[in-house]
Amino acid sequence: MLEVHHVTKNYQSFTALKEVDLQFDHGIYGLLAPNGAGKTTLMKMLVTLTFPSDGEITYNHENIVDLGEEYRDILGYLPQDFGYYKSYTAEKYLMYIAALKGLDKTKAKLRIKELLELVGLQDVGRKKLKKFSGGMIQRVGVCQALLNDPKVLILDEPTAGLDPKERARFKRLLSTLARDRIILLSTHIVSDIESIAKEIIMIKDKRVLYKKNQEELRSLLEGKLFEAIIPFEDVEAYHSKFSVLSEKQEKNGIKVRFVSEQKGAWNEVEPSLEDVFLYVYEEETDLSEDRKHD
Amino acid sequence: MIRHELSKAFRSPVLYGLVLFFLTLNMALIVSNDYKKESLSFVSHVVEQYGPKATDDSLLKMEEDGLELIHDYTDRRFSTLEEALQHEDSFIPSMQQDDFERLKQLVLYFETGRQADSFYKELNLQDARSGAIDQYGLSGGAEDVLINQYEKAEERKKELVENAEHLSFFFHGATYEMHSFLFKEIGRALLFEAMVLTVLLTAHVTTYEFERRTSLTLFVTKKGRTMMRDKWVASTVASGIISAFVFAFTLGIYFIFYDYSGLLSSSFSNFFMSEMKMPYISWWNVTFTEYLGLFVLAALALQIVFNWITYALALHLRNGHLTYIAFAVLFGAYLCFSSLLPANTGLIFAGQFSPFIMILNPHAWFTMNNPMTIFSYYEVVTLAAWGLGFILIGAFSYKHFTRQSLL
Ligand SMILES: Nc1ncnc2c1ncn2[C@@H]1O[C@H](COP(=O)(O)OP(=O)(O)OP(=O)(O)O)[C@@H](O)[C@H]1O
Ligand SMILES: [Mg+2]
Repeated sequence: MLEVHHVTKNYQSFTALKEVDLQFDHGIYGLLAPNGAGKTTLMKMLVTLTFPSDGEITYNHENIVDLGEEYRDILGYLPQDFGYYKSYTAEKYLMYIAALKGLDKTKAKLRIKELLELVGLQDVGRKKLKKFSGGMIQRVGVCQALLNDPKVLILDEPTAGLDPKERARFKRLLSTLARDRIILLSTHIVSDIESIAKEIIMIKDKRVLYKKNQEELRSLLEGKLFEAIIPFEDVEAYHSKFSVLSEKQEKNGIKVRFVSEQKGAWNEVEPSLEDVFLYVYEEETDLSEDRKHD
Repeated sequence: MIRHELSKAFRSPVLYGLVLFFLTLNMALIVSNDYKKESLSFVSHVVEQYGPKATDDSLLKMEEDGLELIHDYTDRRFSTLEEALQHEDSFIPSMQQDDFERLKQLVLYFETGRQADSFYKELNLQDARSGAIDQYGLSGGAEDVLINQYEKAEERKKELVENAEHLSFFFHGATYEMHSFLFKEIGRALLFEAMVLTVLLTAHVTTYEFERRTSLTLFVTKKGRTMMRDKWVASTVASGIISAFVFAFTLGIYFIFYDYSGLLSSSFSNFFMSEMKMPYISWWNVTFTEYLGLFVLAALALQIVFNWITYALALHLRNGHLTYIAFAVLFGAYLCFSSLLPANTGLIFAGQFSPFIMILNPHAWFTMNNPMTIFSYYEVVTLAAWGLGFILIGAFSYKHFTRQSLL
């Protein structure tokens, strides 16, 4: 059990996260938040690359910093910006990381073969990394995180740069891995975690806003989400009255999807995770629009 | 895992380029004294013919041989070389070139040898002391230190005369300046080259992951930040290897090029070697070879100290270029600092005990020839104190590094 106790993280005078409390058990946790919300910051603390300014993080009730090597031994991490040595082949780089993770050579070889197959890179293991595409590098990154069969797997935007086919493969891979370990992945792409995440964590204004399963999250908008086809000139008015989550051009007007506290003569629709995400961070988008202006 | 770090050290193409460049430079430097080479080798014949030292017996034989050579070209008969040379017009014009050269060389070593005893008898170290006091504007405590040290120097001077160290034949210093050539020109070049290589290599190894942005992945593995301990050991070993290689290669070429046969076991503190008024005097009775050995050991130790300084800097800065700059700034700042120390207390001498000062005067290592570093234990104390200091600083920097955010 991995627990974050009342953690605050300051960068000099700037507070990135404030009084965060979280618990992780087996399963997939999705960290869903927009740019700059503090996802990477939280993850870097979870892998001891940086340390809380206040509060502590424990694994099985022991501080992860004190656990040190013991904790890193059960840790797998894919940084958002996965660095590699250009002149290394994928196999060589993975062998090197395996050595750093304390795997012996023969075991590492087998494991690397297995993992490269799992991410569909079995044919390019002997190719130099500088010849890899961004998506291929990302998959090598996933492999290295999995080398030591980690109990805690932390992936910072693992699907960035993956094509839809690889995204689907990755999603399948995650669900098979989730049975006996903690997986925390960050993303701003809702579909990446939709249906596989046990719980979704949303960070807003430096704090954890929600840590709920998908059912509960969707129920936040239950009975409040509507769709209507309206003439073009009404769009402005809807924007000022409701939270419009999306609009779509139709042949007889514009189809708007919006949240309203009162029922009206509109079509009530089933909220998706995406709707919740858009709704929760709506103000944030407005805020950033404001910032652009000044 | 130290093996992995070592391989990083030797994976730098810049390093190989630089080594190649330095070796070429050193060869050019060695060859630059080529014109002296021919007459230089005469002293080897002297040792072969007359023994390793300019004793009364060997001087007598030299004189006889010299006279014999002269008598081939003149009917006059001289009883001493001195007398013969007063009448040099009677034989020099008729002499063959190579006989003339031989005579010139013989006379050079003969006369120097003959002066040796009286020179050391008259050598007044108090003059050297007051000269130094004037030159560096010393007073008060600093003056006391020098008085004390020159008393020790006086003792050593007496001892070396008793041991007849001063009589060992060596390349004529005032003519060839071979000590300065080997230990100052080439020696200092070697030291600075090795220093550059050491700093580059150490910064390269220590900042390897940060420079290539693999730090976020690699410092989270089980090995994690303890990798920095391996880097410390690996960069020390690699600096030692690279420095030793550059030294060995350059000195190897040097001794192939210049013939030291017969001189290797000459006493270092001999009179022949002296280039200026003050002859070179080492604090201990060592042969040339032993001195060279000490020199190389100290030079390697110096690189290890530079390695540790760089390691500590690189751990804090985590950037190769910043580390080079910081090292250069530290070097410059230290020189400024040491020149600002008050000249009226012993402190001014304390400031000299530094690798940054030590590297500037390699030709005076283990000798009493630089008044500012006239301490028999100067090299050992400098290396030990800074070595120990930077072991502690390195250990502290490592501890500090393990608690740093790696962003
Ligand atoms: N090293 C740092 N120094 C100062 N501020 C930082 C530092 N790293 C991050 N921040 C700030 O902390 C906040 C959170 O950054 P973080 O990288 O954790 O966001 P994120 O959720 O991962 O964003 P993204 O989706 O763009 O990756 C941002 O406002 C960022 O500017
Ligand atoms: Mg991020």
